[in-house]
Amino acid sequence: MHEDQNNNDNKVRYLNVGDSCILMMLGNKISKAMHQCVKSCYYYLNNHKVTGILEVVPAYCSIAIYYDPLMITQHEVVKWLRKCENKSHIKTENEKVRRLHIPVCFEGQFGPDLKRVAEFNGISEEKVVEIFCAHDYLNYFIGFMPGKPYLGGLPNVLETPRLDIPRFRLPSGTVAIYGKQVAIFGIQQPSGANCIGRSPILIYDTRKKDPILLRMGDMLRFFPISQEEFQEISQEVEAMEYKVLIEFMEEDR
Amino acid sequence: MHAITINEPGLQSTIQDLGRWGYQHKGYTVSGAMDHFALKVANILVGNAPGQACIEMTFKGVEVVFPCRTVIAITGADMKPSLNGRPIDMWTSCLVNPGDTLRLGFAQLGMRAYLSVKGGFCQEDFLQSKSTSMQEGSGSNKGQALYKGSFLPIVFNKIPCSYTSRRMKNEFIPTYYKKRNKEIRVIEGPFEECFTNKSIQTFYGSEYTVSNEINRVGYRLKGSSLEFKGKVGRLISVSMSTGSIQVPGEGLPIILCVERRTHGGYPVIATIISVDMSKIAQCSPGDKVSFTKVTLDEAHKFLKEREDILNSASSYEPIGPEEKLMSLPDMVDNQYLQMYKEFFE
Repeated sequence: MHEDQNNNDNKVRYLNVGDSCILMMLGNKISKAMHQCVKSCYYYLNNHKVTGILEVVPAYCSIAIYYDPLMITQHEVVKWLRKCENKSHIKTENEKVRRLHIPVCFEGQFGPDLKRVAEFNGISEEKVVEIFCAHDYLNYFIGFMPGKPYLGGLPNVLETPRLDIPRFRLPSGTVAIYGKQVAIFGIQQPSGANCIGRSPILIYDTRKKDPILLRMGDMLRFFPISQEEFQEISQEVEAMEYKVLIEFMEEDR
Repeated sequence: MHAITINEPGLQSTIQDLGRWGYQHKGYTVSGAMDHFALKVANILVGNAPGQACIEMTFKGVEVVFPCRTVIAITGADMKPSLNGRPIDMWTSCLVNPGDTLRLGFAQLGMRAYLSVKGGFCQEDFLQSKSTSMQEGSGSNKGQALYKGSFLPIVFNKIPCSYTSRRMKNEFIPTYYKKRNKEIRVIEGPFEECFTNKSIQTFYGSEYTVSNEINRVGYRLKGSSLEFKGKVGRLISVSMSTGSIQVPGEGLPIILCVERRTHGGYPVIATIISVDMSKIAQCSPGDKVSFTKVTLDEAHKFLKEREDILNSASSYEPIGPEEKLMSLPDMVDNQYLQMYKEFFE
């Protein structure tokens, strides 16, 4: 997976965002290689925090560093950041990548836009499900709202534009695709994404000590279930008895 | 347990401190008080740590009854507070007795006021903070605004037998204006290069009006629309800061506030400096703002100056005669309350 090696060669840019945040721009293209770079830097920074740093927040090709200017100068923050510039190749503490197997029901009411996706791409609905479930989706980072993953890796043959008129409300568990993006919703929300299925699992469960299921760098693999299975798993989730199947894999570098 | 009774919740009153830092990588918004300066002063006046939780009131304040003797302060927008019908001063600490009713009205000028109570509010921490996020439904009061009839437990303090009120000196109290133009200082970017030169000039050269679409997530502005260089109207998503002025497709700026989403992809033309976010917090629909560039060093200097004002004893002064207090039993139940009231009436 070295599709975008030259990303790492780009000069790192440091942008001031107001007076208490620096945006460290590591590149300008979304890729797995860039993700590895962001992830390494993010872990390095988190493990080597200095006084005055409030928070470090990763994204696709950038890391935002929030600091308290009364405790640390901007110059000192940048000096600290430069230390990790050449650390991006460092493997992150033998960390294994998790592959989570997420059950999804694509049938009937659960996948109202499955037909649209199939028609747009000129394939059958069964083929859409088959292709969709045959790939891993990388969670680049968590953000926007609690527990929400930013997933990439949608095969080109499934790319479908957003709906012209967004749906007023899509329930939590909705699995949707828009453009090159894949989404799974933690809480119900309005959306213009193509809803192809729904998972009975909760990626954001406030009853749990750590309500958030997914982590940066996780791989997601979806598998189809029937409406009956959906009901069964829903009940298990309700009773907090359902365990998502998680595989641990060597980091793919 | 001593609990404040909420007789009237006001328009939108929530418990806020300085926010939940350290959890944006999980998608949680930072939240916290919109006006950090007013929140800190409210706390300092009653002897709390500056970042303790207060009630943030929006446009219209609360009516509450106190269960025990304690000290309170109200800062921010003037909501004409009164204690048992007698007007009390803003930006001033005030002794309250069991059964006292505090009532606040509509904001005369400004938008948000803060009510502090000595010792603070007893709420379970969520993400190491007592801030509320109504968007997420998380934090104090189960992520909800205060409602009529709710009880808000407070920390019980023994108040010494004499008490002298303190107030912030007039010269340090911010002045809020209605309509009149407010100068908001910004640091350019981080994505100024996405905009045409003409648009950058327009942004700094014209006046914007605060629209009706304002909340703790963001302030939508009305005025001259801005254009992007080329067709770039969207960036690869990055973590977004409070104070960042993002410009979506239609070209009208939105100021991101404390309950902003953690990430976003609209180009940010400029970011408001920390101290001036207090001005934004006090803007209401129809207010005019214009933007001026400052350097990072200047922004840090302003922040340092404001922090010095907050922390300097000479920013505050004692007022009025010392109040001699009758001693009160530590635990106040209804029976005592009745006795106490009869004694004074």
